Amino acid sequence: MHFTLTEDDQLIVASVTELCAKSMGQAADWDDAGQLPGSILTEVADLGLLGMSTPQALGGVELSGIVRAAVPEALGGGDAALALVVAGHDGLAAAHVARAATPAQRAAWLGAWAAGEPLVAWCEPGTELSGQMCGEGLRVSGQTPVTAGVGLAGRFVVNVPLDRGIASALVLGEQAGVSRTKVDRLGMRAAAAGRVVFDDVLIPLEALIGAPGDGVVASLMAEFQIALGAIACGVGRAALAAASVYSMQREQFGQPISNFQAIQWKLANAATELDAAALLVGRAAWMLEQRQPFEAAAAQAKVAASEAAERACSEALQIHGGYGYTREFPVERHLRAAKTLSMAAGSNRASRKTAAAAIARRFGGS
Amino acid sequence: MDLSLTPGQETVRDAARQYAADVLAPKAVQLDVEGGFPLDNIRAAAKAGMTAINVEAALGGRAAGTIAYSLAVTEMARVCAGTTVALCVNNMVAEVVAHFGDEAQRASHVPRLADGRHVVGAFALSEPGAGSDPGAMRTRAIKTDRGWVINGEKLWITSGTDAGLFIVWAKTNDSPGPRGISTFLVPGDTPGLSRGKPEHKMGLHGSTTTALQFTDCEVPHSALLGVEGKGFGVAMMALDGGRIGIASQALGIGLAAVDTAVQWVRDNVAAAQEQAVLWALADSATELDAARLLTLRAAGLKERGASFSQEASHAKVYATERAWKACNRVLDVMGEAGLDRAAGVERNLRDVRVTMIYEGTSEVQRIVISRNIMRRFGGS
Repeated sequence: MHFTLTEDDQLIVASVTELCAKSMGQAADWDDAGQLPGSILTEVADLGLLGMSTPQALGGVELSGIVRAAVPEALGGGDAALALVVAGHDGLAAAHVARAATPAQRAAWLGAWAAGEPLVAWCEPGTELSGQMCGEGLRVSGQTPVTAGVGLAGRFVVNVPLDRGIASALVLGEQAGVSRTKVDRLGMRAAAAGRVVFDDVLIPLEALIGAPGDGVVASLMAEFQIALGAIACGVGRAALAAASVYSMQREQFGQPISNFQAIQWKLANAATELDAAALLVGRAAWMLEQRQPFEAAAAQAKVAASEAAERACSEALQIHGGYGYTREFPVERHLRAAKTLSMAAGSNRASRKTAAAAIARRFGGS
Repeated sequence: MDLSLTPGQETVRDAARQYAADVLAPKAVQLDVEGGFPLDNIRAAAKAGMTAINVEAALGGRAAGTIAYSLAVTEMARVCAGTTVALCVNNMVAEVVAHFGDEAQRASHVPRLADGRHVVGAFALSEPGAGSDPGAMRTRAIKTDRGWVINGEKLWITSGTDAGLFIVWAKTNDSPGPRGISTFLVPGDTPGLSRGKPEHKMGLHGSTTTALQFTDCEVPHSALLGVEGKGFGVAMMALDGGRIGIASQALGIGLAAVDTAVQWVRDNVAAAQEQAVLWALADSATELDAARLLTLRAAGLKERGASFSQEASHAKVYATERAWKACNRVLDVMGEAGLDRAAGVERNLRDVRVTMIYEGTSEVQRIVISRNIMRRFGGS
């Protein structure tokens, strides 16, 4: 047992950390604008982060599951909205195609996607979307759940519940009958979350991905819990770092506030909870890599990480006092992101249900 | 012990509820999105009798007492927390001038704070380097033949954009720490006083928060409020009362979030069958009830003229932290639906967060409480 990444993986993470330091000083402005700039998406594409799940033969960089969990943490420390959009594009959409699509589809789509051309948003299956298979393809009406990246993406992977399982398909943003709505969310506003709306749209057969009931959607969503947990760790650790630095600079009562035990314990508790959460995230990623059943571990990691991040960010804001409540400092943005991560991709209520069901099975329930 | 309200208190609470429904509710979402000083709301508050609730009638106040004040603040904050904090500060400023002012100051300013001619009052204590530690303030007032000349910078001034009257604290001699601080009444149009741009805040967008710059700002001798060099005591007494207001405000925001969650759960059959959902509501209701009792206890003590400093701190730290917790639980229950600005609860969460910071952070409240406890049991 060891707790370090390989040297190669460390280099990848270091390059992401460097990108955050270099290019994410404007993250607060992106949050205000409700939109990531195209330039930052180009930069992450240049680092290969949009092709982590894509085989090298198809233009991706094909990273291990372990480092695919380390990258979102590093990215999340710079801008959680960007990390979320990247995770959706790479860990859901591209991974879905890499795993379930035909060789022709993979060859046609994945190389361009690894370059971010276009950006793809992956929409969870939801109850407000209905579809019917017919001779020419899949006819869809209704709207997807709220999904990160909808306002930025040129393509969508939509998952439509049918009687015999979930049908998945690639949808062009410009197709007639397809529109999108914007949802003004608490946090990660630059991810431009929204819904894709279908007004009786026929999706052609060649756009369908895999077969209904192949189970890929459920695996992807379970794996995505790991990415969400990793992003949350990055957000929480960024807030902790900001608060630690601030506490050593800010003087009240004639001394740096870092001298006060109340401040020290906030930092110590946040660091402890975030370390524990990061280890849960790492364990889930390792179990996935080992092809062990990982779903419960992933759900636990997501709950622990997002809630540890919420608490760390709130304490970090408190340490900053009035300054922390303004957008001049990053902690209020981190706090809104952490809370939003707790709600994302099925709230922590859903994750707890997954964990509870797994515990019951382990002890003989069904 | 009697936990019932008097008819007079019920009247004020109902009037606040009516004002909130008629005036605040239609604009609360727009105010959050657009931000800015809610001038129309403030004008209507003066007409509705919400600007000087605990101020004697002879000075234009409602003379309804601190309990009625607390009830009114909670009802208003339940609908628009931003407007409410501007009104809380106005009520506090009116009370402070009524309490510490000489007859001329009382007659000149309190009726204007009550009827809106001063727009609102503001409270200028904090500075960039003096938040929890006001003794570290650097703003100075130098006495001259004609009056006082103030120089320095203030920060986090609620209603700083529009206030017509500022209570300003400044050092008037070189004594270290909180000694040697005096209090001044500075009209908003005094030359040498300039107002900064509104801060871009996480929440409470319906209230403006600015810095103030005093550059050779001259006020007459008659601007000194209370005794020269005793200003720190004025600030601490004002804040003790202010903390009841902020506890009441936080309670209102927490109740608003729970109200929304209850409605949402009613409309969601599956959620309504989940124990985790229902118990989150149960825990929030329990804690907000305890917060209400702590707040009204402090208000009752203040109203009777008893000492209430420790009790106000209990109320503030508990009500604000539990209201924050309640807003968090509500989001946890509602999930994605709660993240949407249109649902209102994410605004509650953003608004309530600052109540754990302003008018004395939670940490300051814990210092006050622990000192009081230690003193009671023989410490020094």
